[in-house]
Amino acid sequence: MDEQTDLGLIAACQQGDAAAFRQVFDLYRDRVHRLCRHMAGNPQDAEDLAQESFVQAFGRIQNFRGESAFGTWLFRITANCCLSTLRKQRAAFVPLDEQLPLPAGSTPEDQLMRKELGKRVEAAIAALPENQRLLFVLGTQLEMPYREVVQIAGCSEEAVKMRLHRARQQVRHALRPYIES
Amino acid sequence: MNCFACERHLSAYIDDELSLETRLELEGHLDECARCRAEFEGHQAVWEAAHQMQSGPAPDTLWEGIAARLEKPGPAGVRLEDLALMLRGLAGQVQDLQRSVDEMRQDLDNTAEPEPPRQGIRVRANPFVPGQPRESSIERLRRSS
Repeated sequence: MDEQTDLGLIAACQQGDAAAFRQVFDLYRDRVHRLCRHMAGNPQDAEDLAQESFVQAFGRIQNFRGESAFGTWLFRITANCCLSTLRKQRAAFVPLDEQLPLPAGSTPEDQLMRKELGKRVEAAIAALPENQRLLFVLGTQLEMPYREVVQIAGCSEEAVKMRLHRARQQVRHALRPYIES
Repeated sequence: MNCFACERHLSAYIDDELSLETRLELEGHLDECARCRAEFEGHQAVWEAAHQMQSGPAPDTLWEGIAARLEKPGPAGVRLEDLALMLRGLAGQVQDLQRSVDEMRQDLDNTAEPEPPRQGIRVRANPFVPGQPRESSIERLRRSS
């Protein structure tokens, strides 16, 4: 979604247009849910967090003045929502049902290995401290550019680089027996 | 570029966040240093495994919960304009109340009876003056009789 479309839609939301809310939701639902899913570590809390994030964003949409892209503003609300909830209560970790995509002609043994690796990856991400986990998910799962991560996480680009690197080192350390064998 | 700087930049290199100059320096170092190349391959493997491990699409029930909460007026659903209107209404009510209290106070002042003389506080007839002997009550009675 380009910024022009963003602004037109957001203006409609600010006028209280219910259809525009739905359109904005459809544009961001999967990415917001993905962030919440990796932050919470289980589907139920992820749905609650995503719902809370959208409700907070739509409730405060009058405050959006276009100083950043709408997506950045929405993800900042989502990130704050995840961090404040997770600090209050540690969510139970339930591995994703999804598996790593299988290469063509993979054997049952390969499938089993990839399934196991997927679980380990999820567990390693869930074991990161919340702030590092947020940077890891934004930078790796959502592939956001650092300048956007800076705005969402509210720290300098240098801090993003360092923390993201540390987070990846930690995940790598947890996955070493599976990846490097 | 040395190994320390190379290791520090590996994540940013994988994310394509390095300037062209730093990227070329890092690639030059990776060509020469087997240890850093192994480090890079390890980081890349983690990135690929984590990146491929994606959650599925958001559940369809998500919008229903949001729509229900948006319809219900609540602190998160109240618009700024609504809040401003509510505040203006509340300010008007406070002014009306203040006016009523002032009127009641005025009515009370107009209909109030004269106050009865105060009791309980007595001023001594012969207050103590430092440096002078004070006349006792018995002496005063004798003098008056």
